[in-house]
Amino acid sequence: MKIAIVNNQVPFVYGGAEFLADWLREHLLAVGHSCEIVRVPFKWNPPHNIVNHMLAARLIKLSSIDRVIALKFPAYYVEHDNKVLWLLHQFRQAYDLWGTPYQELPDTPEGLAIRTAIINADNRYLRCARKIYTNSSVVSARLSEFNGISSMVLYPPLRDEGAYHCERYGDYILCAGRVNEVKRQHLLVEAMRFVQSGVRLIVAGQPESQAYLDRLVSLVKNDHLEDKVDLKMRFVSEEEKISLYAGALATAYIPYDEDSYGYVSLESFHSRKAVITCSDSGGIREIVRDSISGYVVSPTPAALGKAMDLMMLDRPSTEQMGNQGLQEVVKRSISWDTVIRELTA
Amino acid sequence: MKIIVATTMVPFQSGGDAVMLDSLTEMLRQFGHTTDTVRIPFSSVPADMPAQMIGIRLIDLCDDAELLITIRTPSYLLRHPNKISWFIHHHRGAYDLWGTKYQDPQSTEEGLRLRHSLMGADEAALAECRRIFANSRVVSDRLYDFNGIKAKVLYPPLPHTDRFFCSDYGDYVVCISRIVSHKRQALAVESMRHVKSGVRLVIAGPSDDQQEANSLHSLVKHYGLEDRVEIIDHWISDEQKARLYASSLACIYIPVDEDSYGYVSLESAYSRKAIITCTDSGGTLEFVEHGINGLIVHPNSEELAMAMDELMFGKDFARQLGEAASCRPGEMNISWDHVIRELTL
Amino acid sequence: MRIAWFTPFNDRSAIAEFSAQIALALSMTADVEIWTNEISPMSSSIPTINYRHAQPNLDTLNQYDIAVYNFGNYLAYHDTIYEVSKQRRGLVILHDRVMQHFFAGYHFVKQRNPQAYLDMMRRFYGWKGYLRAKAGVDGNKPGIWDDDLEVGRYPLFEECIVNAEGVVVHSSSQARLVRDGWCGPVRALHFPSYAGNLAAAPDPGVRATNRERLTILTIGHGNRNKRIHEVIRVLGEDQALARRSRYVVIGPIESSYRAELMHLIDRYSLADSVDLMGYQPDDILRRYVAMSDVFVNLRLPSMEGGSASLMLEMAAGGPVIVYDVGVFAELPEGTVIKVNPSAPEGLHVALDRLLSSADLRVKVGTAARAFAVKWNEKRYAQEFLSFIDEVKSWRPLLTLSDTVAGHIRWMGFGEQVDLGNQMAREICGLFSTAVSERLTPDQCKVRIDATIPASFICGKLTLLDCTVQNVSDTFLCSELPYPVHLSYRWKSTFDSTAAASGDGNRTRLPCMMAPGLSTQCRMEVLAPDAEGEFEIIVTLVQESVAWFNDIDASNAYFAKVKVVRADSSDSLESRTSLGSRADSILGEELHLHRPLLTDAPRAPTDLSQGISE
Repeated sequence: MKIAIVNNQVPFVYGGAEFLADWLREHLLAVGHSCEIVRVPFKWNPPHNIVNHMLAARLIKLSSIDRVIALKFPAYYVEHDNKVLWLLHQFRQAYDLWGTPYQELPDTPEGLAIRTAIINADNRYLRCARKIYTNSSVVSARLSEFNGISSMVLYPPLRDEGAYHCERYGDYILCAGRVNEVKRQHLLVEAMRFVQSGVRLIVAGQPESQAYLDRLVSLVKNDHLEDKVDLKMRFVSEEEKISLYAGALATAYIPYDEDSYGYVSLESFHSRKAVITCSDSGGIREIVRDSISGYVVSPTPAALGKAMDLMMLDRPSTEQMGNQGLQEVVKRSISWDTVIRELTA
Repeated sequence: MKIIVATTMVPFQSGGDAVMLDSLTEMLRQFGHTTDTVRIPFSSVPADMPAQMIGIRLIDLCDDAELLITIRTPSYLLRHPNKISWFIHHHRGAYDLWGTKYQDPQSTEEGLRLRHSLMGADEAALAECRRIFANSRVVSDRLYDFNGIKAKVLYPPLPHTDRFFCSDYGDYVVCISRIVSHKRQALAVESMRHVKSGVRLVIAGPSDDQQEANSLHSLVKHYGLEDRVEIIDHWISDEQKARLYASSLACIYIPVDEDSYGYVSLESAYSRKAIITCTDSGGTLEFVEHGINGLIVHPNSEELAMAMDELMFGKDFARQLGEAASCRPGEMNISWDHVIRELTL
Repeated sequence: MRIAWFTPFNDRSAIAEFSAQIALALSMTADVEIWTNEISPMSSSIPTINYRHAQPNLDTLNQYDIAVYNFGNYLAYHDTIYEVSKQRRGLVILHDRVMQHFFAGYHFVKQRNPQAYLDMMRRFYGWKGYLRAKAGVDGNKPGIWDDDLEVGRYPLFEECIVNAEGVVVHSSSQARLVRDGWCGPVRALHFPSYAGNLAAAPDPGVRATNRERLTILTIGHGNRNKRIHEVIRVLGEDQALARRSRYVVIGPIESSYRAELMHLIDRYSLADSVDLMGYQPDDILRRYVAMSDVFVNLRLPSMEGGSASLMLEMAAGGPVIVYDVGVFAELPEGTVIKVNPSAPEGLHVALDRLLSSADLRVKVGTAARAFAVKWNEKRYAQEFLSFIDEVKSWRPLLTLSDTVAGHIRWMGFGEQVDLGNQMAREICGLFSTAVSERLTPDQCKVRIDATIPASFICGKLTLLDCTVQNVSDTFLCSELPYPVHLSYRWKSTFDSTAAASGDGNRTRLPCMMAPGLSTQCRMEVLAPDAEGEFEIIVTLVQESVAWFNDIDASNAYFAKVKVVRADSSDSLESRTSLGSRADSILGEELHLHRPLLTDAPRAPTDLSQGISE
């Protein structure tokens, strides 16, 4: 089939959704489809730009395409009679962020009218897709609650599932991925003050602000944690990351209230490593269950430190939970085979 | 500088403009600029154009970059305070092909009105550009004749010049190009009937539709030229292409009325090979000078055969022309240094 | 909230008085500035910007939440307001229903460009309007503005609101007229009474005396449409009535009408009973208002929007006799005495009843006053402010349509007939709540009636009138994801298998059809290419789901017709819109899709949200 993956585009920003689109294309090509990625520019400030770009998406004409897979607002308004959605994002500012400090739209009649337009257009044009998938049950739940539309969860797999593996269960907890306040690596560093079992912490990834980097560095310094905490504050290559996972005891991923379970969980479980997460971390709790595939604790340094100690001290459980984690992945059919089968059905 | 390079595209059709876009983007990055590309799908069915053009106007890139470079028509419709057009061709059906069997739209009342509007829209959008460049004299002349616009000629350089080299002046003339009727590979084959020197012809290139390739094969068979003509009718790698040029006697490139000299001319030049082209080939005539760096003959098989024989019988001459050809890009200032400087001034 | 209020602002204009009152009431909660270009503006505590000597700096209007433009039929008071409104969108208050005099004056006298007036007439009223206007300009017929009947047919208020963000009118009937041709928020508000008038009014009981002669009063400009001559005639033909009353008319009367009236007074010997006092200063006028027993406030034809004089009279607690037309017809029963203008005896009966019964005068007067107390300037201001919020909520849609219209014009696509329509449909689609989901078979229930000609021409397009009634319990509309369209199928009578030329062209339903709703449509029908006898099946189709007649034959209208080869003349009704497309700022096309925005199956909007008890 000739497949177009339709995503939106914010110039100079290349994030999770963009990578996922690339990987989806790779895997579609691998099974013999022709595939191109179509990116529709999007700007949402000032607010009138939102409806401008919604209309711009509606006016795009895609010719000689057999199937469209659309990922985000407002790109999913593109008209095509054979369209499926793999919904990564609605415009949350109009939905669950409305009424919070993050709503971004002004609290004026104009702002409300734009919000209403987004909801109305979603109600109608989303229903034009022949099937709707989402990347997490949180997104599906929102779609159902706000728009009365039912959808199926289709979990995004790792780019290269086979590459992650387990070599041994070492002596460090690994926290890999983006480094910023929302991911809360500072709590993990602070937790090391409470650790008594000798387990170490490795934090690896590019910090997104100088301020946060400084914060982590000074936390390590002030609490004299230099030999317990290894801060690899730089871009980490895929190979290095795979290797770090392969040798870890377990991993930790404790973001604040994220929609989806995050790739870190998949990376961990494919490496057969249990995951420490927090009660308020959001979507990850779909896949990490306390004492089954990891530990779910309250977001305090003390609780986190205790969990890390437990990983070190009760190794049999740690290993068992790690293996169970892989089962969670298998159980949910989180794989490119599943993704492609569904999206090209 | 933050630069956006924008163009229109037809999904699954990638032409010379895609190579130009990719190489320009890469070069801008090498020169230290932060660059992103915007590729907007665009269907060139005239009746569908106005609505799509409105869609393009609705997109807001004004704050996203300091410079916007637009390539394929009508991406220059994008709004930006610092916009440059590197114009490669019009929607020719409404311009230089108007009044021929390729005209598009048709001459109905509605079609005439539409053509008038499309030309007006082009002119209004180009008038917003701070500078307008054309990829050849042919295109620059057309911009002036049809739209009254003066555009400076800015020749697109080859993406990678270093992979081309010269090993020797062998016994075949090479013709590397998409196999399609307006490139006139058939005429080259016909000429082989009249060749006396024993020179061979190697044709290489993918074909858009198998029919074209098949009819070429039949032509060869029909004239019993199997021992003189080799057809490689599939995509070949860059290395294979370079090797074909490297050992060739010369290159033959005889499209009909082409917009520009084409990457083929440059590939020959960097392989130090003379170029045989025709009086009606269009843009190649800006590059090839008869008797200096190539041979220009009338588009008939006898003259083409004579040209090939001349080079085969006089290999020194072929070498001389080839050396001169290799200087031609320098003479014409075809370089990325020049391009980047002009575009980012 | 900052409001720029454009208005005449002198002592003679009723609209100026209105503006002063409302601006003051609004300034309790908003910052209002009066923008005027009077030579000597009236004094007021409200901040005033006089732009007489300089072109108003329209960029400063960006700092206001909204600009309000007061429109009336008098050229000198409103010409610059009109000009500003063309350059800056704003909220338009239409004080008059008829704007013929204004635009005729504007184009003939101010701009010296009669052609522009003719173009305007053509734009809004088609060739018929153009030709009638031209006859007036050429002198073959009286100008439309001189013809009481024509002026109602071609009011030209439409030009005032082309660029408006919102429209306020003072009657439901005018709101309906506006909505018929314009897409945007419209509100009908009762013309307000003023606190000062309420305070000054005597108690209705005080008024009721049984003096020898009761005073009947008519105030305002003495135009013929005030029907003063009819009151005089009634008194003339009932001398007993004349002896019991004194009819006072205050206000300047145009000389030829005055002569007519004097002639009547003479003929009926009513010199003792009728007093044409002419213009009187305000204090005299108010004294008469305070002491008159009955008010007569007739309009035929009705050309104003709301009536300031009416509210003055009702605030004064007096019983008012009105004709049952226009804004007067919308007054609640019992607050005024309504007379049918075509019933000859009506006015006589009304006058007689009121003059004979003090109780009746008190009853009606009390009700009138209660009405005026309720609909005072504070109430008006309150409703107005809430309407401004509604106007603001329309801005994203109107801004988007302006943006798109600008692009269409800039690129020179103004002549592309279907483009504007497509854009308008997409824009309205973004702001509409209408969703059309897959219907189940039992939700596909309609009754169709159509006017089908006996024969069709091969391969030609015709427009047919039909009526569709939705007899299901669900909404039907031509919206995504599964639009329901009106369409048809051809069946050859010799060959029972269907489709001589495939499925029919689609026609959009003109509105969202609620259960039970019946609507008229014009549908586009393409006749088959072959000659012969056919059956046409007119029905609905839900795209990608089902044809209604396949579910049940009673969902269709059938007719046997002949299809013949093309003959000589067969007029094809042109669907190109009137007026110059390049002028359109998507207004006409947006309006076509207005039903998408207002007929959504949630709360049905009543026509006049402002005027309802």
